[in-house]
Amino acid sequence: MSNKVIISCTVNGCYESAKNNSPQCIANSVYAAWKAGVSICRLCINDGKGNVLLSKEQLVEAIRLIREFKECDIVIACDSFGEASLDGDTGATIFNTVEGIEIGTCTMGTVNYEGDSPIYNTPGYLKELTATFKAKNIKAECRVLDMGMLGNTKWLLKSDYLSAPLFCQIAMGIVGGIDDTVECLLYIVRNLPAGTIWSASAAGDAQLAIIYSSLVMGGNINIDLVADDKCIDVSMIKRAVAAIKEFGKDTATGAEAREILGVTPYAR
Amino acid sequence: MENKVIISAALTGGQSSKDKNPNVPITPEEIAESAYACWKEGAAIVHLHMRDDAGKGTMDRNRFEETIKLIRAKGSDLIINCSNTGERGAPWARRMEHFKTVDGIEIGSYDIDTMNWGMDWMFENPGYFLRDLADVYRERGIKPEVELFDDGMLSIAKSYVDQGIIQTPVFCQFVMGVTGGIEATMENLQYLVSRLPKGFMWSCTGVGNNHLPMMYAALALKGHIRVGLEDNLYYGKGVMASNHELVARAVRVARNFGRETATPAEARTMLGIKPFKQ
Repeated sequence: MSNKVIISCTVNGCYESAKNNSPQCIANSVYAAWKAGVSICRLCINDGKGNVLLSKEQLVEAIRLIREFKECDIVIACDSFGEASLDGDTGATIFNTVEGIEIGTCTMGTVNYEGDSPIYNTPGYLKELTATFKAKNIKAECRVLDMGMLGNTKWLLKSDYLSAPLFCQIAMGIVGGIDDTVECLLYIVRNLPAGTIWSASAAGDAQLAIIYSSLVMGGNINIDLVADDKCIDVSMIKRAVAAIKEFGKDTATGAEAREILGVTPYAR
Repeated sequence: MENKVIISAALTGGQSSKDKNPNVPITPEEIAESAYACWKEGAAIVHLHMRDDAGKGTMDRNRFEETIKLIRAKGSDLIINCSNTGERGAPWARRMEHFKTVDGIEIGSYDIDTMNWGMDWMFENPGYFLRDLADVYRERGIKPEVELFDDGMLSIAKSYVDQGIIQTPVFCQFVMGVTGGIEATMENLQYLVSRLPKGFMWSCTGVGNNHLPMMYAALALKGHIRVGLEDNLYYGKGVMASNHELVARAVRVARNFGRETATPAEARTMLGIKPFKQ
């Protein structure tokens, strides 16, 4: 498995709002991503600013539609960017009540997003969310924007809210988070607990530099996409796959990603 | 031109064994053929070492001369970069003879320190030799390629610039992962690059199975890259490489990153080397 690289992919953009958030568009995007080499899809339920991206009903429908692609064994992650309530449902209630979520993504602290309004992930919320993940056998994906959030993550690990090995997503280059440079990536990775499985992501000019560096450093790759109209554009996924294959490694299948992360094998 | 990547192909080296990989070019004909194939794939520079009939490293100036003639006869405008090493125990004068007497050498390697190589032999480059070599390079219009195997060597390079022994723009080649030198890690390359002063350009290669990681690391850090059988015999696990295949892969990996390869003419401009005249 050391030869396998997990590509994870948000298909309905937690950073910029999707134009089309319909369950069918999401399912189409997930399938296209899986065909291109992605092993974990991430569905974003809120943008952390109080905007619902996917209602509970839409999420349930999207998961159902994804699972209608019979040969597709992609791992389904659900992302609560912040704790802002969703029509009365917090992230925790969503994770508690929607079936078929295998990974729960959460941002490991509060930040003035792009220097503007705070996206809240309070201590109480993070405890509630991670406790829910544990109870529901959902693997936590810890989105870390800076060293402070890594500190929160380590605290939750020490306090048994999270289990080893950690799965961390280092999201770089957001104002309020760490810069998207190779130096910053090295710095964060050096401070991860031993055995942590990690991916990193950046946007714009730094994106390929972070993808290439992550491969060198034994990390995985995260790509955040937004569906344009009916589906996402998979060209960046294809470039990541090419980088992995030329490097002499291969993309993890859904089943392999589950094995690497300790997620229960998928059974229809 | 800022985003272009210069690919150097180190074709033969002083030690790579033809017994292990039959694709290692040894004779002047083989080296010229391999150089041409690398140019076709997108290399801008070929880095040359010579071997004798038995395949051992030699500083024989006639071999350099013959090889350069053969490379030029094939019609490429490749930049010719020659080593000053490869023959164990060669006297200082013999390591410089080809630079003094063979025409058409555009870059000369400049290993800026003495080191224990692979806990096997002494790679000796004392200051008095380096000063003489720099004089020869300056007189002959040859650009030094400062090969750096360790972070300490960078301080010598800086001091040589301050003393006027070598001139900016300095072309550095980080050779990573030789035992006795710095280990080939992302962190170490980032550290080295962060310590380069203004006027230093850099390229990187990792030896053995550090080859691909250091290529990716160098692309991520916006440097240039070196590939070739001098540094690494394998294409992948258990698969022997040839020089032009390594160049072709480097070109694909660079393009995938969003960087086009520099032509030899562009590389000459970037390095401050005189335009090529047939």
